[in-house]
Amino acid sequence: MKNERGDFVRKEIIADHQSIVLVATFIFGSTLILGTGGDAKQDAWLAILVAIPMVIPALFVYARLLSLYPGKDLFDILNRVFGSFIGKFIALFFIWYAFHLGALVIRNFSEFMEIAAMPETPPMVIIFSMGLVCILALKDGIELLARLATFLLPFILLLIIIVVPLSLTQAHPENLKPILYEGWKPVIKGAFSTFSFPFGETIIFTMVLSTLKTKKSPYKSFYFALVISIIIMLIITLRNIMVLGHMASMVYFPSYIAVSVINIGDFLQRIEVTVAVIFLFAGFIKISVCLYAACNGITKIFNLGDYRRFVAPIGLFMLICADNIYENTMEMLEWIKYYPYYVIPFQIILPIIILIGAEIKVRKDRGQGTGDKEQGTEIKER
Amino acid sequence: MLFGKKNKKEADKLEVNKKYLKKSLEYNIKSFKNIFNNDETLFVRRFKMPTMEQLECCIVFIEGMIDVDVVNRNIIQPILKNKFSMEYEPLEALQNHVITSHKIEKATEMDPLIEGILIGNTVLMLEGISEALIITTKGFKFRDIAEPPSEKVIRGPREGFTEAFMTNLTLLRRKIRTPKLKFKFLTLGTQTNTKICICYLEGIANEKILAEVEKRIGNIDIDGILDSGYIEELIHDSPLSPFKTIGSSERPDVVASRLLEGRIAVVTDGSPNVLTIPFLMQEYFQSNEDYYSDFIFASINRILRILGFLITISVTGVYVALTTYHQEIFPTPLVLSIGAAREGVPFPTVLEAIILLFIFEVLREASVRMPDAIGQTMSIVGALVLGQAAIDAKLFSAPMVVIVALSGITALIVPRFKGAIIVVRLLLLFASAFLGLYGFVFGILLILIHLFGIRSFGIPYMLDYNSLNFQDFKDTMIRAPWWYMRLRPKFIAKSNNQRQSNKKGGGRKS
Amino acid sequence: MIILLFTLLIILGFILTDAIPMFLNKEWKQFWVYVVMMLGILILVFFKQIMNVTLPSPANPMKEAIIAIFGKQ
Repeated sequence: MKNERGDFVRKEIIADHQSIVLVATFIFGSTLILGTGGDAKQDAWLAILVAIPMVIPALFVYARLLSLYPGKDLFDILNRVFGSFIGKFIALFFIWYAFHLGALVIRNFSEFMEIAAMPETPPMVIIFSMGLVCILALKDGIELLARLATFLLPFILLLIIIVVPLSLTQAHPENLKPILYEGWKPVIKGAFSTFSFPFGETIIFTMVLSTLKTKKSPYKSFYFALVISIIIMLIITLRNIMVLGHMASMVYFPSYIAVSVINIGDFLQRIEVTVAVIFLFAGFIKISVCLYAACNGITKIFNLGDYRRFVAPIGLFMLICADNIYENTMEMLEWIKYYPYYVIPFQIILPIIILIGAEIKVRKDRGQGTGDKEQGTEIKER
Repeated sequence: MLFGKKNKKEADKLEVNKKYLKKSLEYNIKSFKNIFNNDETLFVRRFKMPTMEQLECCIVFIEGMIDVDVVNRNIIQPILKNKFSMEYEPLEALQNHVITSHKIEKATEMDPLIEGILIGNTVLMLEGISEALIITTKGFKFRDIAEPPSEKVIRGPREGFTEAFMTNLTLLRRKIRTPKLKFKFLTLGTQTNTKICICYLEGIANEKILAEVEKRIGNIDIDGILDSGYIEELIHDSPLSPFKTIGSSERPDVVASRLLEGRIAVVTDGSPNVLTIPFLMQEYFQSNEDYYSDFIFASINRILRILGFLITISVTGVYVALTTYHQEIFPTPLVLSIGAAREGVPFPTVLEAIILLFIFEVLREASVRMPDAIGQTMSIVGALVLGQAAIDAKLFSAPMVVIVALSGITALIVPRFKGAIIVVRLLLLFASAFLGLYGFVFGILLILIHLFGIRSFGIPYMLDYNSLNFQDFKDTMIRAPWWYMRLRPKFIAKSNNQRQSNKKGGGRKS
Repeated sequence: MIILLFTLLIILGFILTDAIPMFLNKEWKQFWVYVVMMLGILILVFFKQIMNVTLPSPANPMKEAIIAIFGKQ
């Protein structure tokens, strides 16, 4: 890539700490505002913990895929493992998933703004302004997004660290009881939905993180990010349950309500706007990552060259899709119930099939000695 | 076509004839007079050598560009008073035995002679010899070395660059006395023939950046360079950005410190502002005094500057957003008092903010341009427009005036931002008026995207502050103590990083 | 109406920065794909904002498919 004066060759390299931040922000991004594990009611925090054993192998599958073919993303891997035709066919599904997920997050976001802050503004305006920011960010490339994410994370963490203790003044630890009142069944159901949203969504990163430095980087980014995001999600969920009690699983945006009840000395009150700001930052990164995955896939499948030039039209399509995807908020919440089933093929079935195919292909190539050679030169190039 | 070609050939022939001196002194003088046709500053003085009646001499120079004393005492006087025989070639004799000047060159072509005359040297020609001497007699008045008013310090050296090219280079050389300090000369500007010098420390400066700077400067094709600002605008990255990507300073100590960090300096003849390349966002918040006073005070100042920058760009936007969209965030008494203050004000808050900001910018610009004599009128009128009178007349609300004044004052803490602050402030104001605090955050994101996209000569403009490496952090938000800054900033000086030996404590006794 | 104009402006802006260089570099495939996509967006916004036609959402058929596979919960 050349800069405007056509000189310094610019390669997009994402350092390990940047990819960790990117994945972590992606995971806890919309969870901060939507809440997770609603089925488990006051045991939602338990649902997150129960989800961990399910998440770890899934993340292993994703990371293994990336590290088998360093320097390649999911679309290249599909092309190589299943050949051009079938590979492109499967890739279409993943492009759809990335595109749809981006639209869903934008829609969550605009619904939140509609309900919480500005009911009079037309939703299209909010969707467009958010989308434009994402498009403009991606036009400079994924590296910029990674650097921006590392810059924003401390501010997000700072806001969380300030706001959480403040809301503890309204907390009632007895809200956590009774633990396991309805047995394990709702907890496991909650864990399942926690797996699909947000942890399983990291499958998007197999389409994104192709420019990592070493073979071990994918594991590192996924697992460090998992630790960070689980800590943050546990804190937020516990806070929400302690402040709101059984209400936490009933309101649309639990964090927002939990913060809005803060009132310290009649001076510090109604600071829920800070939550919205966090959500804005994190949502921005999540949408941009989805948009990047979609653009990357589409330009690779149709051989359109540099993805940056197609960010704008694909992004605008995503915005229109976000506007049309539901009639109203009720429909959105209804859809969230079906979401865990919808994502099974994308998050579990297809990745496992691809991984098996990739393992076989890599072994075969190694036996013939051709694949190794090719890989060797690639590593040298980078 | 044919005719034109022939003409051109003839012209070429003439050019060739013109380019060399002839033996006839008369002819040579005439050709000089032809070149400087209608230019009465050209001065030709003819005189004869006392010992050789037949040998006529002539000196040519431009009045005002030479040091008259030097010409009288070191050229004319020795020639007229000397009694030398014809043992030597007359020109050789003059060069080696008669004229007392530190620098004499011989030339036969016209071009170097003309160039020499134009920069203030004197040309000496003899009858019957097709060669001439260029004697260095430059001498024109320059401003003294003084403290630059734009970068005042309380502690630290008080000297500043002047308009004199060589003096500026001397100032740099006096700070860094090593043969590794390199000066590369270039001439730019088809009409002004301005001298440019690229300075760098060999072994510390990044070769890639150096090559890039040379390439970009080499691509400049312009008729005149009157200030280093021309060069800055012609070679900088992201030309449409309000943020600058090339630094400039009037202080030799600042430029020297940047050279020591591996940056490259560009000195321009006739300009007291020396460019330093690359320039990063963090340098907006640095001041040379930070490094001379103790690190705690310097760090406090630096944090103050960053806060000042954040306040000046955001305070109007946040105020508009909060009062129009999120009143609930204020405690009730504050809402009531703001409401009371706004009673009777005809404009919506946004318009109020824009008008007041506009008036503030007008006052600022006027106070720079106006003569000192009307300063008082200015401050009285300013105080009326942006003060109690405007509030009493119910034109603006008191809180808005306070907010705009705060925004204006905090802008003065980081004066180097100039246009960037105005643009960013307006952008955030519009964004907040459009979507409240959410719009404000969108605006901040847009600015961040822009800043992270900029590169100054290949170096990212914004560093990731949180690369978990404290050595990169040491000179940004805070100024780490000198005994901690053992390494140069690694993003600029790639090869040679060591600044102090690794001995524990550096110069400090431990 | 305002949103349609707004979209038109955005699209024009992006065409200026993205499509014109493609046109100048004679990358016809990319150029036409780009222009057709942008036209599609314009038409979709037009339908939604002026004709009030809501596009069929993919959510409902997917929901039905999921119910068919996993059964009603």
